[in-house]
Amino acid sequence: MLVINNYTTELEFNLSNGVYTFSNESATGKTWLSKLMDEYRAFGEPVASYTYNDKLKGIPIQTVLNPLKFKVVLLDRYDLYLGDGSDIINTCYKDCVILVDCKSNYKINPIEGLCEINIEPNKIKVVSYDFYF
Amino acid sequence: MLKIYLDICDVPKDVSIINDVEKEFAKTKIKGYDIERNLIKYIEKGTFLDEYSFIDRFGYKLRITELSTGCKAALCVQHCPDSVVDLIECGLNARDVIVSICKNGSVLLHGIDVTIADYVTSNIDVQCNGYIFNTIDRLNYYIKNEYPYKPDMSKEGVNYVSN
Repeated sequence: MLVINNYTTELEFNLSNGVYTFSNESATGKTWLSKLMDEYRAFGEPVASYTYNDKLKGIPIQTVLNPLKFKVVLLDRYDLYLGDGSDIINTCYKDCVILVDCKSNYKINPIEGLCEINIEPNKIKVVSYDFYF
Repeated sequence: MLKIYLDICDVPKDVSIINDVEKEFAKTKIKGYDIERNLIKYIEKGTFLDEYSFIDRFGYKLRITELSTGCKAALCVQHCPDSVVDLIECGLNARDVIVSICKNGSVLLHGIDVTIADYVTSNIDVQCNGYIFNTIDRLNYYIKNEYPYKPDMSKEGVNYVSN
């Protein structure tokens, strides 16, 4: 469990280490979460995000898949760079939480399960699917 | 009429496919047409305000650039009628709203193993594989049981494309 409540919008990640995908639904707050995690990373928090634009800018995905620095990582828009970082994901998933926005049928291994995102005006909470229900 | 492709191989070679909807949307101006307002309403649970902003589900004013990727894809369908918008990044809710209410444009559908829900209306005006479908039920039946072959024309809800 990781809670970041030093800033206006609180982030809570109630999941054990592993790889999770979000449910196949739009407009749930994933990109907002991704942007906040990127911002909080700059503030020194152990969270990071990566999106397709980072790939286009030439930023390697390895920069965020580093459990020594980041305890929770979000890979946003993964459908546009499927397979990137799969080797590293396979080695580091036991040491951090990796959240993946992937709506295609691409099989991410090893997958822990689904996660759910709940948004409020000043809080975003991510929980595992089993916990949510 | 909305045109649906179920396989990238069905898209004509001379038609461009939009894969990066964020990039395409960045070039798009929203005018406040009814269809745009409805797409924001049904996908985003928000309200169109003006060309530059909308009201989100919590009542906060946000920049139009902060719409979800799925909502941006839907708006691109309307604004880029000569291209095919790849809905790979659309959740099922956005996909279903697009099929229900978009009246022009072209899309490449994914997730066709999950039936399309009639979020807004069950009556549609959609062309798929050379046939016109008037109901979501009939389109779902075609996708699940008949595609890529000819549909059973005796079942209601499907017609030939008139030339």
